[in-house]
Amino acid sequence: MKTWLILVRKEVRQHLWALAGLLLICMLAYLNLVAYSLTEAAPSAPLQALRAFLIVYMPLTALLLSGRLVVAEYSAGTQVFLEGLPLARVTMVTVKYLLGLVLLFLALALALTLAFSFSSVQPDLRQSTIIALRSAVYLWTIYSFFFLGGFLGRYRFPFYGLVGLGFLLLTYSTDVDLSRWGPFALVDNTLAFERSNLPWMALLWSAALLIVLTSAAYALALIREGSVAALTAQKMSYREKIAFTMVFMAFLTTFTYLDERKDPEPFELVLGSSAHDGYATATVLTAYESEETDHQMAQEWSRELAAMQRFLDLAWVPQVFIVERTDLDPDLFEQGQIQDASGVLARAHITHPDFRAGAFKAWLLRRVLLDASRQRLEEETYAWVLDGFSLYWLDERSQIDRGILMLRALWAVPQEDELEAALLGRWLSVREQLGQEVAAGLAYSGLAALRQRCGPEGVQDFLRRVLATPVPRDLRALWTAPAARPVRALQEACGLSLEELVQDWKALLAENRRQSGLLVESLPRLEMDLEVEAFSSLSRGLRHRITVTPRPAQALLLEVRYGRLQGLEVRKEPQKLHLQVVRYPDRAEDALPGTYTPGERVYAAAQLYVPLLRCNVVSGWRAWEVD
Amino acid sequence: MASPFRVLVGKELLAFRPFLAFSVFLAVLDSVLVLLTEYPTRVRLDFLTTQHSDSAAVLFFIFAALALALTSGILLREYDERTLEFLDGLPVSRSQLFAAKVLAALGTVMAYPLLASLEGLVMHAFARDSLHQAWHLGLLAQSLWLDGVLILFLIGVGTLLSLLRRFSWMAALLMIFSFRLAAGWFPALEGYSPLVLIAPPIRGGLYVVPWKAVLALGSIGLLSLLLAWVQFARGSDWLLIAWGRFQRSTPGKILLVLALFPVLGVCIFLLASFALEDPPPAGVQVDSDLGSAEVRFPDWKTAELRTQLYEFVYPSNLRSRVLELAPVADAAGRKVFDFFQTEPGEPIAVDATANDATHYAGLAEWQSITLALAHQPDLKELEGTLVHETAHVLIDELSNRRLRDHFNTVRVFHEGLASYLEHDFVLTEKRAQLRFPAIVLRDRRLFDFELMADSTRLEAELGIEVIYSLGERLAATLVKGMGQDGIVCLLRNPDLAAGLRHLQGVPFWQAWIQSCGHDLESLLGDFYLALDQDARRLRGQIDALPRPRGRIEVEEGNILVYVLAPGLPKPWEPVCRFKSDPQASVDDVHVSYAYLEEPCRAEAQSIAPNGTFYLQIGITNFDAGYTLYEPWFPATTTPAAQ
Repeated sequence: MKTWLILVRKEVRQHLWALAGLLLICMLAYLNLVAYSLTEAAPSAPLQALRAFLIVYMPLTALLLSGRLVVAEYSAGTQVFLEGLPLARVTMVTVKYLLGLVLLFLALALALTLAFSFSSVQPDLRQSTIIALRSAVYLWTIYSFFFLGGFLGRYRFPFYGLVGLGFLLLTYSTDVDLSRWGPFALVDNTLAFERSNLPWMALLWSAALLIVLTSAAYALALIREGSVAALTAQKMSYREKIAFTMVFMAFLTTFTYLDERKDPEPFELVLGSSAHDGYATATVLTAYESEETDHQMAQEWSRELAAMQRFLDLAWVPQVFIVERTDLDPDLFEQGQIQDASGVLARAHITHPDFRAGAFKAWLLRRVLLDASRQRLEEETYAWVLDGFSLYWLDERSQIDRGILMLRALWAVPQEDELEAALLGRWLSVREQLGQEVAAGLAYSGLAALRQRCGPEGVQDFLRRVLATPVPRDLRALWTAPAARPVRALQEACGLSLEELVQDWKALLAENRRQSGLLVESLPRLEMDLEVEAFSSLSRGLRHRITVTPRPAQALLLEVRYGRLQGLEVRKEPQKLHLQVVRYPDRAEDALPGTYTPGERVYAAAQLYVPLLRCNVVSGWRAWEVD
Repeated sequence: MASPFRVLVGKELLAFRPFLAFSVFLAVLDSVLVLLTEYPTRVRLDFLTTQHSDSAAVLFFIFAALALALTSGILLREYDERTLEFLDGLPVSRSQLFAAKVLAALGTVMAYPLLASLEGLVMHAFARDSLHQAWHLGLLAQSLWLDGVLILFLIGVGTLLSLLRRFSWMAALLMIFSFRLAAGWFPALEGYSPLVLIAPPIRGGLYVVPWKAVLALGSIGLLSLLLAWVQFARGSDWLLIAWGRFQRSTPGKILLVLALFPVLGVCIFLLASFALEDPPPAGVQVDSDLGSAEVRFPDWKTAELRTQLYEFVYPSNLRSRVLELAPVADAAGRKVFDFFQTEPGEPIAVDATANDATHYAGLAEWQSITLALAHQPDLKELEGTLVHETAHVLIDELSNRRLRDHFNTVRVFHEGLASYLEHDFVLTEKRAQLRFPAIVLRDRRLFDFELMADSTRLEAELGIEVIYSLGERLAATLVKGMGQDGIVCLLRNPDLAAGLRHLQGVPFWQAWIQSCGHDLESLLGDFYLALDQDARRLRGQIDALPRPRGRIEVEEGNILVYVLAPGLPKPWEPVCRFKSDPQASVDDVHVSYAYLEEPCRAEAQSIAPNGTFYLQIGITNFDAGYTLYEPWFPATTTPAAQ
C-alpha cells in the first residue's frame, strides 16, 4: 500500500501544473453549469447542463489527464526509472489508471452535487442513482478509451481520428444509430428526464467496452516488458506523419464518395395531391389548392410518366412535383433545385387560360429524362435525341400538331443540303443557333424520318438504347456509354448508318417543304449584331442592330435577351438573362442597357414569337467580347 | 559529372520524397474522387474558376499546410542531426545549400498544382464539346504562375518561421489571425490576401492578375527567404542553439502554453468559418417551406420596356403582362398629361420588380411609380393603377412637391384627384362602387370637412378607404366647379411656397381655393348637395344596410363583441376595431373580423389594461374592399356597480 501511495505522490508532484490546469478547466465547466442552471427557467436546466458537462468537458479532461499520466511519462522515457524500482510494472500502470479515474469521479461528483442542488424539482433517490450510474459508467468508458490511446503514444491522435471517422462512416453509410448505443446512449437526451428505468443494454455494452479498452491498454503497457509502449511514445517521423495524413485524406475521400453515392431521400411536398401509376408518382399543387383539380392533374401526370417509363423501358423515373406559380408568364416554366432530396420540381402558371400545356409537357418530360439519366443525356452525343424525344412522344400520343413541328424543322434548315451528319455531332451549337424549341422541332423531324424507315418499333428500340441504357456515373461510363451512342444504337436498332438516316431526313424535309409551299419563306428570320461604343479607356457601351427578313409589314415587338458571362461560362439560362423589349423597326438599332468593361463577354440574342411556329425564333445565341 | 549544386538539389528532393509523394497523392485523390462520382465526359476545367468560393480557401489550406510542414525542419534539421558540420566540409557554400533547399521545396509543393492541371487537361479532353472547344492554355499557365507566387510566399514565410522551431505553426496561425483581424478594420487589406492569387476574376479569357497582391506577397516571400538566408548562411549558430534551449526551459514552456490560447482561438475561428452554412449564391430564391427539403429557384432577371411616357422595369417572368399593358399605357397616360395641361418630358420610371408587394397596387414617388405587377392579373385594374399613380406623379411635379408639405391636409385631394382620373379614364364602371361609402357616410352625417382636412384623424375615425371615396367625390366637384384650369391653378399656385406655407387644415383650404378665385364654402355646398342627391337616388340600398351594434362580453381574458346587424346582406361582414386610448394612432388599433356568427375578439389585458377601452363596430364589403364604421364609443370590461 505504501508503494502505491508513493507512486500517487510521485504522479501528483510530477503533474502538479497540469493538474492545476485541469482544475481550471473543471472550474470553468462548473461555472458554465451553474450559469446555465440559473439563467434557464426550465426545471430540467441543471440536468441538461450536466449532460453538456459530460459530453463536452469530461472527454477533454480525460484526454488531457491520460496525456499527462501516460504519454508524458513514456515520451520522456521516465518510466524506465520506475521499472528499475522494486515494483511490478502492472502496479505502476494500475496506479496511473486509478488515479486518473478517481480524479475524474471527483470532478463528476461535484458536478452531480451542483446539478442536483440547483434543480428546482429535486430528483428522488432512484432518479439520482440512475443519473449518477449512467454518468459514471459513461465517464469510465471514455476514460478507458483515452487511457488506451495514451499507450499508443504518437499514434494516439491518428487513432482518435480514425475511430471518429469510422463512427461517422458507420452512421452515415448504414442504418446503425450510434447515438442509441453503449456509452452514447447513456448520455442521450433522456439523461435529464429518466426517472424509473435503467438503460441496461447501454450499461452492459459500455461495461463490456470499458473492459475491452482497459484490457487493451494493459496489454499494450505490459507486452514485451513495456517496450511496445515505449516505442510508440517516440516522436513521429515525417514519413509517419505524411502516411497518417494520407490515410486520413483517403478516409475523407471515401466519406465524400459515400456521400455522393448515397441515394437521397425522396422529396415530399407539404401540400398538394399525389397520384401513382406503377412506380411513377406525380404531385400537383395549384394556387387555389383545389384538391379535386390537383388530384386529377396528378393522375394525368402519373399516367404520362408511367407510359413513358414503359415505352422507354426505363429502370426508374423520378417523382415529379408540379407547383403553380401565378406570377409567372403562361409560357414560362422553371425547375427548382431540390437540396439533398430526389425528384423533379417544376413551377408554372398551370391554371392560366393561355398556359401552353403541350410545351410544358415536352419541357418537363425532358427534365425528367435528364434527371433519370443523372444529366448524362445533356452530353452533346445524345442531346439531339433527347431534344427530339419529348416532341416525338407527344406526337405518338397525338398531343401535338405534327405540322407545326415540321414547320419548325423547315425553318431550322432553309435548304436540305445544310443538313448533314456532322450537325448532330455539334448539336449544342445547333441548339444555340436555333433556340431550344426550334432545335427540338428539327430533332423531332429526324426521329420522324427514322419512323418512316424503321417503323415505330424501330424508333422505340433506338430510343430505348440511347435514352434508357444504364450508364454508371463513374469511370465505367467510358466503356459502357458507347453502347448508348446514337450511331451505334441506330445500327443495332435499324441497321442504319447516321449518313443514311440523314438522307432519309433530307427527303422528309424536302417533301414537307413542297407541301408547305411558300409558307416557310414567309416566316421571319432574325439577325442581330452588337457594336461596341468606347466611352473611355475603361468603359464601353453596346448597341444592338437587328434585322428581320422578310421585312414585316407592320411594327413588331422583339425581345433582346442579354447577360454577362462569368468565368468560363459559354451560355446562360433564360432566367439569368436580362430582357429588353424593342419596337421594330423604330428601335432596331438602339443602345443595350448597361456599361461594360473591356474584356467582358456578353451573351445575347434577339427573339420573336412566331404564332405559326407557336414558339420563339432567335437570331442565334452568341457571346460577344467587349474589346 | 553533376555539379555540387545539382547534387545538393537532388539530396534535398530525396529528403522531401514523402512530401512529394503527398503532393502526388493529393492530386491523384482529386481525380479518383471525380472518376468515382462523375461521368468522366462531363468534367471540365472548373478548378480554374474557383474564385470567391470555399474551394479557394481549401486550396490555400493545402498549399499552406504542405509548405509549412515541408519547411518546418528545412534548416534546423541539419543542426539537430549534426549533418551541417558534414555539409560545411563539402566544397559548397551555405548559400548554395540554402538555395538548393528552397528550390527543392518549391518544386515539391508545385508538383501538386502541376499534376492537378495536367489531370484537368486530360479530363477536359474527354469532356470537350462544340460549346467548350477552348483549351484555356493561357489561363492554365497564368494559374500555375500565380500558384508559384503563392507557394514562394508560403515557402519563404515557412522557412523564416521554421527558425522558431515548435513556435512556427503557432506564429503562422497568429499571422493568419492578425491578418483577418486587420482586414476587418481595413477592408483594403483583402486585396493583399493570399486567397486572391487563387483563380482571380477572368476577363477576356485570361485572369485579371492581382498585381498588388503578386508584388506584395512575392516580396514578402523573397524578403523572408533573405532573412532566413542571412541567419543560415551568415548568422551565428549560437542564436539558434540558444533559442532551442529556451524552448526546452520552463519559461519557454510557459510561453508555449500561453500562446496556445490565441492559437486555439484561431482554430475555432477557422473551424467555425468552415462549419457555417454557405448562404445561397446570389440571384437564387430559396423556398424552405415547400416540402421536406430546401428548394432553390434561380431568380428571373429584370426586363426593360420603354414607351413614350413610361420606362418599365419588371421581372422577365411577367413580360406578357407588361407587353399587354404597354400599348394601352401611353394612351391612358396621355389623358392624364392632357388633364393637367402639361407635356411629357423624360419617361416616368415604372418599377414593377417588387414581387412581394401585396398590400398596395401602386406607389408614386418623384418621377417614378412602383407597380405591384404580380398581384394584379387584371389588365384594366393595372391600367387604372398606372393612371392613378401617374396623376400623383404629375400633382407632385406641377406643385413642385409643395403639396407634400401639407400632405395631411390635402391627402384627400391628392388621392381624390388620382382616383377621380382613374375612374374617369379607365375604371368608369367602378365609380359608383367607389363613391358609395362617401354617400352613406354623408347620409349618416358621420363626417365634416374639418375631418376631411385632417387625413390622419379621418383614417382613425372612418378607415383609410374613405379617403379615396370622399376624395374622389370632392375632386369631381372641384373639377366641375373650378374646371381643369382651376385644378392646374391650385397645383401651380405660387402661394403654396409663400402665404399658404404655414397654414394647415380648413384655413389652408379656404386660402388655397380663394387664391385661384373660387370660394370653398360654395364648392363644399356643391359637394354635399351632390352626395345628398346620390343618397336620395340610392335610398333603398342605404336603408338596407343595418347600423351595427354590439353585445360585449368578457370570457377567459378575451373581450368578445357579438355584432348585432340584423338583415346584413351578403357580401357584407361585421368588423370591430379596438383601442385602449381615444387618441391612439391607426397603427395601435386592433382590428377583428366576425366571420360566421363568431364574435370579434380582443385580448382584454392588452386592450383594456385598466378595464376601459374604445370600440368601433362596422360592416365591411370584402368584394368592393371598403368598410362603413359607426363612431367610436367607450366601453368597459367590468359591469357597472348596481
